[in-house]
Amino acid sequence: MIIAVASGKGGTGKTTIAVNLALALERASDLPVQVVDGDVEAPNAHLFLAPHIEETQDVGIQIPVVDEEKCTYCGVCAEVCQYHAIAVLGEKVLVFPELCHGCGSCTANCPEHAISETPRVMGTLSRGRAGKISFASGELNVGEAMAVPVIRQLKKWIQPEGVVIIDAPPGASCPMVEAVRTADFLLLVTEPTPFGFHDLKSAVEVAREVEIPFGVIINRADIGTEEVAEFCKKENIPLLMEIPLDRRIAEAYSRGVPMVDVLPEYREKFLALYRSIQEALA
Amino acid sequence: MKIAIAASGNSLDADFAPRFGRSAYFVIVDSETEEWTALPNPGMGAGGGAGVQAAQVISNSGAQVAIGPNFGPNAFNALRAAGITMYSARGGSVRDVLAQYKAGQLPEIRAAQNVGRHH
Repeated sequence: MIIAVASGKGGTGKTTIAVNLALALERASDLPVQVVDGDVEAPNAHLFLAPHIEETQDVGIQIPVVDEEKCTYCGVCAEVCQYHAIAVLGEKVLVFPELCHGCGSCTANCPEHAISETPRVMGTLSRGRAGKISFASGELNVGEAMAVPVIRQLKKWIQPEGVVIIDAPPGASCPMVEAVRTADFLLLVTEPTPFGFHDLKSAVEVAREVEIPFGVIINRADIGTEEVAEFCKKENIPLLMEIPLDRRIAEAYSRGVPMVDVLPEYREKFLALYRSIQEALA
Repeated sequence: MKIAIAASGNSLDADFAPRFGRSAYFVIVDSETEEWTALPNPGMGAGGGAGVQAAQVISNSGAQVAIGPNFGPNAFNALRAAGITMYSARGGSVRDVLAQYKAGQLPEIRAAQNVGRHH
C-alpha cells in the first residue's frame, strides 16, 4: 500500500506524520515499511530517521543537442516545444536547458534527424536503511526550477510490497501531483488556521482530480478556528487524526527526535491511523 | 531598418510595455518609413520561456533592433544569437520610444538583466 502524505500549506507536519507512522508500523509489525522523501526541494525526513545511505545516484533529464551540419533551420523543433526551450533564430538554434522538460518532442519531430540527446543532471537520489525501514530520498540541486523529473525518478525506487509512505512536497502544483498520483491513499495534513484551511482546499481539489481516496489530519489542532473540522464534516471528508499543540512534541522535533520516541502513547494513535486507512480502502 | 518595441497595445500610441518578455504586443516599426505593424506576443501568458518566445517572434519579424525596459537572460541570449541589438527605454508611448531611439538617447544593453529564476 502506498500512502502519500501531503498538504497545501508548508510546515503543517507532513514529515512528522510520515516518519512517525513509519516508525509506529516498523515497531508494531513485520510489515516491510519504506519511507520515500519526495519533498525534493527541502528533504528532511532523514533528520528524524538517520538512515544509513547505501547508494546515491545522479538524476535528471535528456536535453537536445543540435547537429548544425544537418540542421536546415526549418524551425519545427521550436514549434513543437511547449516550453520554448529551443529557438531557431535565423541560422542559429539555441537550446535553453533550464526551460527544457526533457519530453523529447524536438528530437522525435526533427525532419533532418539533426537532434540527439544528452543528460542534464538536476538532482541526486539516495537510498539506504534506518533500522528495518527502507529509506529513499531525492534532492533537487540548488538553482534548479523543476522538481518533477527528480520525483519521477525517485518513484522508481518504490518497493510496493508492504507499506510505502511518501512525504510529498507542499503545495498543490506539479511536484505535489507527481509525488501523490500513484498513491493508494492520501493523508492531507493541515493546521486549523486560515492559511492551513485555504491551502487544504487546494489539496482537496487535487485529491479529487487524481481520484485518490483521502483523509485529513489536523496538526496543532487546538490553535486557530473550527473551520477545517467543519469543512471536513460538511464535505464528508474523514478526519483521521488530531494532534494538539504540545510543547513536548515541539521540543523533540527541534532535536530531530520523532514524537513516538518521547510520547509512546502516539504509537497506538499512529497504528489506529493506519487501521483507519485500511478500513477506508476496504 | 525594422525596430521591435515592446508595447502594451497594438499601435504607435500604445504605452511602452513595463516588461519585455510578457508585453502584450511588439510594434515593429520601419525606422525610415515609419510604417508599422503590431504582433501579438504569444509569450504574454506563458508559464515559462516567455523571453525565448518573444525573441523568436522578433527574429521572425526581421527586426534588427529590440527595445524593452530590460531583458531577462533567456531573451537576451536568444536576441543576441539572432544578431538583434537591444536598447533600454523607460516609458511613454511607443511613438516616444521610437523618437528617443532615433535621437540616439537610448542606452544599448550589453548584458542580461533580471537574472532571476522561475519557481
